[in-house]
Amino acid sequence: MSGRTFTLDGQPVPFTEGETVMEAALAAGVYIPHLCYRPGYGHHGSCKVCTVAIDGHNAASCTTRAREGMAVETATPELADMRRALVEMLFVEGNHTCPACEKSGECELQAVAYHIGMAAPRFDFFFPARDLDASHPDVILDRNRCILCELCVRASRDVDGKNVFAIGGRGIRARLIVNAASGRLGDTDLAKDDAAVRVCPVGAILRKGDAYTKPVGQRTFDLRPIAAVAIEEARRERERRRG
Amino acid sequence: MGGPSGTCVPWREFERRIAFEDVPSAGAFMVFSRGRDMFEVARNFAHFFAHESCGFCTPCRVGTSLLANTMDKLAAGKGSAYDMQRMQTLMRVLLSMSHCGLGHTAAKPVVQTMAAFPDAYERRLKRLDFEPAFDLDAALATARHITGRDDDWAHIVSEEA
Amino acid sequence: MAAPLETASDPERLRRVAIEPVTRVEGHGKVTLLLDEANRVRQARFHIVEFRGFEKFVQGRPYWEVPVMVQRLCGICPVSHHLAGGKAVDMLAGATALTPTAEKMRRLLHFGQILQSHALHFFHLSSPDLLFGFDAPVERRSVFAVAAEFPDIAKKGILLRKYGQEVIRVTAGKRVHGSLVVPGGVNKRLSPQERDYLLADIDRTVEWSAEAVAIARRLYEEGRARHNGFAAFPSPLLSLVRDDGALDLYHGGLRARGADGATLFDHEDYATYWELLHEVVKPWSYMKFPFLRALGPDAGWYRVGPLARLWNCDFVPTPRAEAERRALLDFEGGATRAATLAYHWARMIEMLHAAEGIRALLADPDLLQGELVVKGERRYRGVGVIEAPRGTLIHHYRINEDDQIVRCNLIVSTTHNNEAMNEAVRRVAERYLDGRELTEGLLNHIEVAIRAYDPCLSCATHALGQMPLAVELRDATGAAVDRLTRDADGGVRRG
Repeated sequence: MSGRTFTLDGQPVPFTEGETVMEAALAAGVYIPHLCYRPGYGHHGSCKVCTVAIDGHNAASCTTRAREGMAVETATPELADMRRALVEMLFVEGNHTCPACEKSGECELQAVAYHIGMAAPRFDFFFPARDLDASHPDVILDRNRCILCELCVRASRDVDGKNVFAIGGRGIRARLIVNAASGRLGDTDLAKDDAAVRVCPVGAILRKGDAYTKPVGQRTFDLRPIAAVAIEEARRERERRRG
Repeated sequence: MGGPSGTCVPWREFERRIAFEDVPSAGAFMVFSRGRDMFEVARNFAHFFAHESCGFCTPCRVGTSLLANTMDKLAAGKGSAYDMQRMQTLMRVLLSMSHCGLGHTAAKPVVQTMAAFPDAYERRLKRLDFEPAFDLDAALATARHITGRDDDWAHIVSEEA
Repeated sequence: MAAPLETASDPERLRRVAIEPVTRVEGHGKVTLLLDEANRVRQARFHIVEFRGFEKFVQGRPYWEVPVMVQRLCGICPVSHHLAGGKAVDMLAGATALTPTAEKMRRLLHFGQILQSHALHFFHLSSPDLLFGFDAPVERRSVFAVAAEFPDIAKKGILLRKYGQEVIRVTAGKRVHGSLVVPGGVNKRLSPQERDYLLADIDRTVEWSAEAVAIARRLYEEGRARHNGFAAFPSPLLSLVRDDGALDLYHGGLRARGADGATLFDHEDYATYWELLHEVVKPWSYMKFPFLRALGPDAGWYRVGPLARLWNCDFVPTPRAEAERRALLDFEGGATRAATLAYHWARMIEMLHAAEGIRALLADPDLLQGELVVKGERRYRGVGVIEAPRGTLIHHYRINEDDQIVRCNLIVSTTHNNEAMNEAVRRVAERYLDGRELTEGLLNHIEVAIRAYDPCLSCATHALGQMPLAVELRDATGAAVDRLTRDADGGVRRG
């Protein structure tokens, strides 16, 4: 701890060697909106919502290591607009009907959209035909709401040791697929307490029986904004690593 | 010059030089005669990038398809100035947020031909303000099917400007 | 089910009536009239032209989404769909009997809904007609004129509705489109603070509801000759009743009485409602026409809603509302049974019942403690029925092995009253149509008759102040000879 720092919107942020800009920012209590990053699940960098300007060049803060003296900007009008555009893209790409979704109030996509002030998407909806797989006795997979963050892919591979999930297909036709010859979730060894189930930031992978059991007003993001939740989550992960 | 993500040099700039200092090239170039519709060239490239996008990052996965769809909307004679603005937005998102070079440059053919051949775009605009991509009448197809109707009143005909 | 005036002899002409489903959201009604050469009414129809398609797009969804998804059918009575869908889902989840806490929380929510919906309909929507008369100038027939001329009535109406909305917010989390119901139970109980908050205004709410009954009754009595006869016709009545024959808005068996008052069936299990009710489709309306199988498609149409419920049940289980029910039934030898406009009076009696019911529930400790959910063995068919503000509401689902909905049928309250509203329109058209010249007065008379049933399509009126309505007059060749349109802003145009 030799006092290494970079600046984030002009404020000094301390970091330790090897930390990403995202990790250092969260440790310093600064929230940078993100979806595919989750403390403890590695560095992925696909959603691009956490993109910041580093010495004038854009980069995903969750995959960029902090360096002494770098000047990072996150709260610029240009980046705010680009972030909104990205989240709008995620909304038009899938079928996200918040009003009836059981994840409403617990959903990070919804919470990030509120945080960054998204109103209606400026892009045309794709309204894709996507499958709902309810074949598993305890877990439901609704691809309509998948944002392809691959958190479940990483969790199943790295935490559960099962490799249940992967992304199949390319481009706009990319889909979350499951590791079974039948293609059905019910034919995998996924269990309802797996990290891959818990980690889903949206309403794509859900435990049966949990729907709507939290009353409106007591859901995660009813109680605290996503910035506070994310900073707290990062703190817990740091403590867990220290043991 | 240099493939779909390269530089578009219109005939007015033919005095420029192929060189690192001016128009760099990866060793390939394409020539289009004046008889060619540069809008259609750009639309073809937009579909090329949508097809080539690997789908890893949000801006490229969604942005390239949005761009191709918007070009299709213009080609169908349903474009508006709003769509032109939106393509500029898509270009900025692709350029500034994409993971790799494919996304960074995917909007280049559209943006460059928009600047070099504005007529090719503007004559395809139906309205100067806004024209929805959503087809109200097509959306009613299921309702017509369920109710067994196909008479005039079961169709929505948009008013022509 | 061809009533006189429903269909003129040449069906080709009838197909010309404009139907534009997408532009017609809730709140759009259309009436068409057909005249012969002598300017006599040969056809009068009330069209519901909205097409929602909920039965289609819940297919494939997991069944527990139903209570939350279906409440988006409506912004005025979402709670009714939430509860009816919820009861169907209880059956799917194999929950045969709820815990006392769960059932009472749901009943509290439902009473809040009845209170706010009835208050909204009477004070905001119908009171201008009743206080100023059907022929009053257009600019006077609005809730704003009521507020200016009868500020006390308007204020109490608004606060009554607000109280109902607060009951909904406290139980379901939001005033509109919240959630309380989960398969086999509820997701919360009341905190002592929440109970005390609702207790603070409940006595006032009961008193004001009693005053509202008095207003509705006085208005009916003052115009008794006209009110007894306006769009009045006997019909069978359908509603749920409790095991002991009491009015029960949340649960019970189906009871139907014929037009003569004789019992057609009683305490029937709604889980097999299709043995009692069928539906027919007519090409000119998106709303189905249900009928009692015992009477057949022609004579089997019936009425539901407040008036039907009060005439159908043996008693109301809260004392003040029961006293008012007796007065309604005894009025002029039972004249209110057939009277369309007596719906307003009955509606206010039910509002009083809801207020009394809320007061009784708030004194019950089960709201504050106890288990929330029971579980059972999953089944493949679920039927849920409640008495919604506008009448009997039926939700019916089938699911597959994977808990996904494969089929859905909804019979909403307004649908049951479809033929009754058409009959009311025919009666009014016959009696009040004045030659070829359509007057604004005629328009409003038709509207008054439809509005008495509080159809769900009046939601837009609740929101905007006026029901968009078009009346077309066609001659025997089918050519439109006159047309009046009332826009959502209340403006009336000819042509």
